[in-house]
Amino acid sequence: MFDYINNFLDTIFTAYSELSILPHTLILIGMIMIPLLIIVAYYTYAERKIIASMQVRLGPNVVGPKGLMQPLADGVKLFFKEIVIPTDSNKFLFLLAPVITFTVAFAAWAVIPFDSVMVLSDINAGLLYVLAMTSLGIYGIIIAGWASNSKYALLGAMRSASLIIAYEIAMGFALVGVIMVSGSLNLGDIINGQKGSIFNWYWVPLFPLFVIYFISGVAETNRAPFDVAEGESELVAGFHVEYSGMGFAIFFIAEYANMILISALTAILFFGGWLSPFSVSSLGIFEINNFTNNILLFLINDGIHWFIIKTFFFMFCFIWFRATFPRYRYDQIMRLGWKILIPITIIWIFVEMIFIYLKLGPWFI
Amino acid sequence: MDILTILFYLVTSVIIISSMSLVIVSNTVHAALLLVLIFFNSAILWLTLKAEFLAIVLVLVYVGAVLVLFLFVIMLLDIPVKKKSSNKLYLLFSVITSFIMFAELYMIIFYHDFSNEVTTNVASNLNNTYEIGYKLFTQYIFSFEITAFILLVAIIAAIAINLTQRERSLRQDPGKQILENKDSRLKVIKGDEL
Repeated sequence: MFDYINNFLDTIFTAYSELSILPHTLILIGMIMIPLLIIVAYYTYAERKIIASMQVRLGPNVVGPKGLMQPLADGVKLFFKEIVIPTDSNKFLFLLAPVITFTVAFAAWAVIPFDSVMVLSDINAGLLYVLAMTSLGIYGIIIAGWASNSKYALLGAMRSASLIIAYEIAMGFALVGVIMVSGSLNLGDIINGQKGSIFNWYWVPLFPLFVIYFISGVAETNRAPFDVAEGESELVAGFHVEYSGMGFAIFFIAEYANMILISALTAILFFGGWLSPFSVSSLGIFEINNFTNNILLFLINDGIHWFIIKTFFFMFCFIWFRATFPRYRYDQIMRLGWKILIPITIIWIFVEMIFIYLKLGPWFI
Repeated sequence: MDILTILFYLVTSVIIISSMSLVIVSNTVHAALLLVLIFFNSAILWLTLKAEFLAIVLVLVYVGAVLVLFLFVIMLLDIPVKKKSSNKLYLLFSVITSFIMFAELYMIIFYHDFSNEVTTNVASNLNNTYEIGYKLFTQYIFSFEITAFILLVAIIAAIAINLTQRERSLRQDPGKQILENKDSRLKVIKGDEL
């Protein structure tokens, strides 16, 4: 479908040959952004419903059938609320901070491959680009905390910023392990390197790195059990205390978009992205060419639906963690990040190096 | 004029304007954020030269790590916004320094032949990252390792300087905390013992 739109737009804009790249890129960006925003809206609903059922409650059930219109109602409410700008705050930076957070949370999606052909920008250093973009998210937090002219916001910003810096290192090292096995920084090549059965995916040889990557991902997005910056039962809301209305809503959307991004990256790097866990040839039950068999064949083959299923599973894990684990104390988080996760990643990279040197199949060839 | 040329003039003018205002602005946080803008635009310049690895690493290292620490320090120190200084001596020194800098740059740019040195390997089939890695780990392996070693020494030195001042501070011992159990913390007192 992406190709079709590319061709169509190219024929229209041949006269503006160099500028033709702009409109069709914008349409492709829209095709990623709009579904993502809808998923973000219903992710908040899913979170409330799932946590409610885990705690034997009902959750949102008033607005619309089964409460399905709740995200829309929340959106409308936040949109029409007054935006309060604190006295003596830095107005320009105060309004810039949510914009930075939002932009950075969505910019990383440019290199995510949804399918073997569905990718907005197939650049060689894709993984580095993702790392660079996610490391910029910290600016939104620091600037929001500082520009609010509030002690609580500044303290919250410092807490979450030092948390993010601590876990970014472990995350980067976990990604180094993936780069070593796949031999490429391109996300599409990384997925193609995992072809084969479910045991060829990188979660088997890189199991410790997968666990560390996901833990750091949860910490990076300031989610429970690492949500010390927010800690809604103990503190005020952290770096975005002073934001109201749409300012707050944008931080909220960015947080959930980041959670989806971490889930998608986990699916791509360790669980084979769009690759199917079954292989059609080994099943051997689809000789007859009829309608049901064709649909089954489509569902079992590789495709974007496997990527979405895997991503949704990890998104569910985020919610599951929040309902399950008690919050870490601040010094325990720092200890876990610096003194446990980083040494484990370094050791596992060393072990991996030996595996690659000995050419241990089927992964390290 | 093709689109890359327009982009070049746009980006360089942003760099020049923001570097000037970086020196002029009185608020340190604004200055640090202008530096972020400069780094971003330099990354765009490198991207137009097809140096995608260097461009992304510039953003990752300088913007994502170094300047974050800058901002941390600036925000925590609470530096007051400076009023304009009326000291004429500063003006004299800055004029002299900028004149020397300008003369040096002029000599380098106009009397030096760059045509043999600055090459962007456009025709190459291999990607940018691969080529840089190959060069670094074959031709420049010793300088690369020495740089890494110097950085390691700097890290250890920074930690060592910081640790000496911590003797009197209170600390948690996580090992002890984990080994604590109910018996070592709770004591049941029966009524007749009181």
